[in-house]
Amino acid sequence: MKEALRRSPLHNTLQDVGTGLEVRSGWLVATGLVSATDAAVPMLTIADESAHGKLLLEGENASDVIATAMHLHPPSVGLSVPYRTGRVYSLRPDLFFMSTLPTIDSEWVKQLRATAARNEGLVTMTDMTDGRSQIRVTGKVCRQFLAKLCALDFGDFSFPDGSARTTSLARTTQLILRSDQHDQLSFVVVGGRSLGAYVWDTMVQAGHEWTITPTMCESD
Amino acid sequence: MSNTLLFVIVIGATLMLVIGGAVTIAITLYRANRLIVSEVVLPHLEKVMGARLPSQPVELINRKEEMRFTFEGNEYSAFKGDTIASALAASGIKIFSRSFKYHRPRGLLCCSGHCPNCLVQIGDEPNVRACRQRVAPDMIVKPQNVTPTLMWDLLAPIMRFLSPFMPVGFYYKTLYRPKWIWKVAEPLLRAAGGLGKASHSESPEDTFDKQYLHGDVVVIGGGPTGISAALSAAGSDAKVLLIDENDQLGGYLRIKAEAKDVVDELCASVYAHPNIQTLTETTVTGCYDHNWLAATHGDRLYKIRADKVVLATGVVERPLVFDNNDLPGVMLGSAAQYLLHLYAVRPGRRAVVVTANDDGWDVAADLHAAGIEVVALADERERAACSSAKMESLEAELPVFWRHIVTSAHGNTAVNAATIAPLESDGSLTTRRTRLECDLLLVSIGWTPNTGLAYQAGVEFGYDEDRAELMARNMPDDFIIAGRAAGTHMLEHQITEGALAGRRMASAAGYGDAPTTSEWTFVQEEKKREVTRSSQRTIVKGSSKRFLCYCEDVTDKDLTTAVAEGYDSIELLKRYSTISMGPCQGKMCSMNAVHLCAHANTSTVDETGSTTTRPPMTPISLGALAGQNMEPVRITPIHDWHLGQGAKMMVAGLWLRPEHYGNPTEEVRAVRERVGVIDVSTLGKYKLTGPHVPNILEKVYTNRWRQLAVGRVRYGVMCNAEGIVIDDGVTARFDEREWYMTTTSGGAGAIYEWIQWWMQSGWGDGVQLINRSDDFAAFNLAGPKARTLLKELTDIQLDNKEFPYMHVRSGVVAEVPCRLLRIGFTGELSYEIHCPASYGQHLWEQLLQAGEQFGIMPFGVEAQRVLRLEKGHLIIGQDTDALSNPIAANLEWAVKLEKDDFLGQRSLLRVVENGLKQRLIGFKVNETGPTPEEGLQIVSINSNSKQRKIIGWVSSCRFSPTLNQVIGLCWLPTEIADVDGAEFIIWREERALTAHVHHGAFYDSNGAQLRS
Repeated sequence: MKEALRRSPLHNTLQDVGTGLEVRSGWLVATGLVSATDAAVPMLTIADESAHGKLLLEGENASDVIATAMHLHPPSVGLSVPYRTGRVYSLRPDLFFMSTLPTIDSEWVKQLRATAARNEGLVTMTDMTDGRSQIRVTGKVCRQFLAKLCALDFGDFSFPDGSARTTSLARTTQLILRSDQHDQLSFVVVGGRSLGAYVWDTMVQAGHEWTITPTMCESD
Repeated sequence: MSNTLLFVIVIGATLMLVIGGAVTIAITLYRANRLIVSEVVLPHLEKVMGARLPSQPVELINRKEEMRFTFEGNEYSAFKGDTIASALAASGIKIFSRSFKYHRPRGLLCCSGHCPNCLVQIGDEPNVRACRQRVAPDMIVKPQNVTPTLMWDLLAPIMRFLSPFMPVGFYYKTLYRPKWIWKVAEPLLRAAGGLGKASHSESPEDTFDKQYLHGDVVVIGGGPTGISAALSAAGSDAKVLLIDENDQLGGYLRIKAEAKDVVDELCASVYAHPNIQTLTETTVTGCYDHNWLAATHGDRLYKIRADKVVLATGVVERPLVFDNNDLPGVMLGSAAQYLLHLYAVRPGRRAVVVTANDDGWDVAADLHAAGIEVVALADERERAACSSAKMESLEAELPVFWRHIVTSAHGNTAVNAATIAPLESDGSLTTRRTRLECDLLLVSIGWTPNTGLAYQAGVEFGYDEDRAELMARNMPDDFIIAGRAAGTHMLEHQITEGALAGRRMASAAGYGDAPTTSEWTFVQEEKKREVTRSSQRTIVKGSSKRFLCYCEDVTDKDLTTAVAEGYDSIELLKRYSTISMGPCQGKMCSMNAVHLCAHANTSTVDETGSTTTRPPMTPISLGALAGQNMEPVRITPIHDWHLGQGAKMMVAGLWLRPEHYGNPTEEVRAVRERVGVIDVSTLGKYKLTGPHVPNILEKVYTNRWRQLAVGRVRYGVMCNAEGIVIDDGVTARFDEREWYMTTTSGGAGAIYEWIQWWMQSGWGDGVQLINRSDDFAAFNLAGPKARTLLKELTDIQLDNKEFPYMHVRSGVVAEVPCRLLRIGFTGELSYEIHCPASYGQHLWEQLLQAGEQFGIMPFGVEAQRVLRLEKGHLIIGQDTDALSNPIAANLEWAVKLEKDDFLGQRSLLRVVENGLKQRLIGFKVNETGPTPEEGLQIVSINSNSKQRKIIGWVSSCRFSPTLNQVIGLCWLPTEIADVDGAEFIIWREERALTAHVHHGAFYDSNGAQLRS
């Protein structure tokens, strides 16, 4: 029997762009894409981060669970705090989104789940990794680019680094995270897996004027 | 005597005839000569010699880069930076278009993108303004609305003949009886009148898109006032968007060589300012509630959220209405200046300038300096009322006619002369006329503030009789008008007012201090002292056609008649005559129409008011409104595999699903005889957690849930409060606190929101609902070999005893963590396997690989429809509609009316109390032949009258390969539906098909296969 490997919702799209496939952290990943840090990369890049871990913690006492299990002061709504290899974003007072690198620290997840279960209130943790596409766009024209797809104000004042908004992007509901990398303006778009390919294609079309270039996911 | 007298008379008559004939011939020759010289020779001379002037200080063209393009099939040259209009004008072209209705020749009028006179077709894009569009190499430009050419338009003489019979609104009065006349006339009218031709096909070159922009202060207009406002607001730290419709900032200063350094300096400051984003060649076309602005830039539509707005859109030069005022060669003074200064094009050789302000003198001076002969400068004003050094020096060099106005332009296809007349002291025309030979007649008699956006923002205007201009009466707090649009014509006042307006709006947006009242009052007082720039005169009466509206060919006579007919309010007049409803959107005609209406009603302009300007202010392409094609499509994790196998895909809501893989009948047989697998990842999938999940389930489902044991699955129907079926599905209980609900694919999103709504309305205590529809791939493995196949891939106990029908298990299948629900929509032994979506394709491929030995086939939606129909299962939304309750839909077994409470309970109790009139029931078609289509009517036929009465409809129907018969579900009156075997008639293509009622499932009616 073949080894059970996970595929990103953009598997086929990236397979066409790249030169081959290889296994990383249990995921089939396209190879041959340029690196986002390559000096030759133009002003706008797009990368598939769907393999990144995505956890949802929901419940009135969710902030208590975060404080207890992660020893963090929960962020204000719309903002985030770093934690280990990821960040914890507050989407509502009772809803937190946790973004991690592809290999979620299982001990940490267990601890979080156990703390949630022990909590007197109803707190539910759900691993959404398989059900969400995650697309990162990076470059100095990110704001103009995203403004073609979404009505939010992506300026520094309205959308500082580390902030999160759930909004309509290209007529679909997406969670947008500002997550600058290496002093480069960068946003992450998280949405339903079934819409991932559509969102990717729409972004590539919208980014045509800036020669948007698919790159390797940095964590790869 | 009589012979002598007769002789004298004959001789006299002969002499008179000879002399008369000679005079007639002389006049004819003279006219022909003049016509030939002015309308043939001169333009030809321009073509040969060119009308391009030597280099001008502020010209936009790059003479080092020359390119070719074609207009009406002829090749022309242009410099980089040339517009189509400037390039053609430089080649001596006078006629740019034919008018909308009468096909009269039209030439350049405004050269600023407002009037309709230079609309051309470029490729598949109609109605492009030649005065705005830059020439591109090898561009193919065509004229619009010509039959067959611009010069020789056959419709022109026909329309000239018909014009007396075609006054404004003639079709309302004539083409309504007999009724068929409009059907005949409409295509003819549409063919005769019109603009360009839009393409009906999608062009790969289309790059339409939209972009959202945000600004603390949005400044509309990049003239001196706008620049000043932008710099001032940005200086207060506000984020500023500066928008201008031209490709360069500077506004009217762009044509002034003496202001070049100032403009360059201002532009440099703007571009260097980090708080200012500048958008040139961008036209704001609408201002909506809360300063939501729409703007276009080529193929792009900007949607702008402006906190505050400074409107500095300046003014539009107002045409004068006189005889033949639409002849090519009649231009606005500013248009000639644009051609002269920006494109170094001589607009004519002999010019008459008609003015009522100092701006006209500037025009005359510019022409004179460019070597164009100014035949006359006719100024409406008294000599005594005007004085300036510039005026005095110009008066010494040019023939100036004080207190004169133009009465007529002459020529066939272009101006060859103009007539001017002196004015009486009361402003009326004297009888004296002076005819002046010329090929250019420039009119500069006043300005109309460009205030359309201000109207949309809620600004109210009043008419200032002294200044002959509209002035704002009130303004919203978040919107301000400044500069020429606010009646400020002097440059220093514009800059001051702009700066104050910028500060004021920035302050209102929370940045910096607002100007003091004294600062504001000072500039308002100063501008009141400015000289008047506009004339009260709008129309000079005569004997030929005088056009107010160039877009729709509306004359002053048309409007006067309309007012006399009772359309005496300006809004009615607009709707009846279509004035101001063409491509210029009233910029050329609105003020003149208001004046005419006021005069005709013997009221004031202020009392008459003005028409409501609505967006879009300028024409906007449908492509720009549509933007980038964004139609979300949802695909399952196995989508690409389906495509690879040649599946025929179908659209189901937002989803793309395989309808079949080539042979749906064979797919059905595979499931019935061996094993098949279908991708049902599209199902709605929700996780419900918490101690009180049964409570919410009891409310939203019609059946009982409290007692459902861990490890069990139950089917449920959902109704709305009216008792109408809205969805169905199964829900599994994994443990005491965690449940897993599935819904129909189409209902996934709506049902999630619906349950959330009820949870937040008081039923959600102790429950959390999480939409996991995209998290799991789901496959239904169905058929007698399903269990045997599955055993190859999992250690989960699958025997009937360990894992019976309507139970759920968790475990590993093909190394993938899965949930297995033993349910049976197809009527066979089947397992619905849910796994993390990322593993979907792996698991799918493993199932197919392991199933090869059992003859597995993937099956699509079509086979599934047949299979479920054989089992008698309904599909919500197909077999039910917005009136179907579960009792009538044959689902009464899933409705527990005796429960405490559930959505729809009260309505369903009433249904039971009143009894059913129709119900959903199975049927078989007796005859062989075509399968009745879904939606066909079921009828009863009166044996005597042969009248048909509709008594029901077919909701599902398929040929069953298993039964070798056509079967279906239909809605029938209960008296028929209740009788097993009762006959009824399906009406198909004017023919009766006999069918009979079937009770129960068509296949495996006792469920033995399902439970095996």
